[in-house]
Amino acid sequence: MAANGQANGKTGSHGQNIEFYAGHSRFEIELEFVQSLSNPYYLQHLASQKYLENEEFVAYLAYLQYFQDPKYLRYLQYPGPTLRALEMLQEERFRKEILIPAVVEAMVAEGFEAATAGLGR
Amino acid sequence: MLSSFRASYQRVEQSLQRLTESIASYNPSATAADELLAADEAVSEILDQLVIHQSNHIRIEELRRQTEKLDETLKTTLQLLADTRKQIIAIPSSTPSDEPRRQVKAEDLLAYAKFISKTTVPPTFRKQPPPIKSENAQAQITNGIATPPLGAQDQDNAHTTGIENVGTKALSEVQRKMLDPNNRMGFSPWPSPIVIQNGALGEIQRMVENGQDPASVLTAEEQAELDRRNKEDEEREKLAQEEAERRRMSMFDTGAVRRGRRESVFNPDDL
Repeated sequence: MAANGQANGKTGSHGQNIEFYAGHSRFEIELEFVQSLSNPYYLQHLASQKYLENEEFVAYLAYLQYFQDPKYLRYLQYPGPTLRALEMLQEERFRKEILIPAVVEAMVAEGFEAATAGLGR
Repeated sequence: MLSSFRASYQRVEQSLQRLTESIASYNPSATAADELLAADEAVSEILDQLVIHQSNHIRIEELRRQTEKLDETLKTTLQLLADTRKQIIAIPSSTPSDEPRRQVKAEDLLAYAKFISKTTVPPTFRKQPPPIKSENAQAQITNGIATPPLGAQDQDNAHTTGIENVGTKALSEVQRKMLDPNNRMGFSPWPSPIVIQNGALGEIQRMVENGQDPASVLTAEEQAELDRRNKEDEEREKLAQEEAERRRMSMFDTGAVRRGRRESVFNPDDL
């Protein structure tokens, strides 16, 4: 993956290379971020920092939905919880409710259950 | 066979007749008697031959019958083989090469399964006896509600250093209570705070804290280009410096300097 954004013609508003940041490609960073969303405690942290109320952030979350495509899905190491969290984050109600600790704990419990359900489903 | 019989019989008859003639003419000839004896022997020989002949004949008949039987068997077997072959060919064949290709290749699927094996359980996983677990889960949720005030404070303090401490504490508590240490599940279904910290995002966070601008980190290509440009600049500077030196020298050149340091000693003879 060419990390040289200037060669692709992709430059940000300040003329910098948006495909490459701090030694990693943009895809790499987005992949890491979307997977860390699967951790309910991280979501709680984001909510407490008021990120989930930022319009730009919400738009970015909507943009991240491209990971549902099999072409990008194959790079997810935690596919289940990641996609579930992504899906739920699209709804405003969830974004508000994730501030409630009980909801976070319920999500943790649900996550573990879903991951270990196996044939019990 | 029959002709030889007749011949031998005739011989016997002849010899007998000769003998009787000779006896009738009061001239018994011993030769005639010998001849009769020989003829008789010949007949008995012929009889033996007859026995052998007959037994041979019977054997031939028997063999003939056997070949016929074997021929029959052979014919039936061949017929059966032909029929079976026809049946086999007649079976509707499903050739595997014509099977429509699936959406995802088998190798890709297996590689992906290996990829996520550390973070997922296979669908055949069976849980431990449920009653004990659900009790623990209940207790856990109540504990979870009790921890938030502390958690919120810590989170505020830990803003600049990421989400490590509280996340780890609460998570490991949950892990400890919900997971039986003897259970196979030694993984977490999402990246733990440590994992997140060691990733690219954590790296960026640390760079920001240290005052470095992450955007200033260059790719390998850009770095190489920068290095090349720096080298060029250096070379140019060096050349320019040398030029300047030379020009300076030439400006104050008294001839003596050009000839070297030794000549700079004042020599009155040169004046």
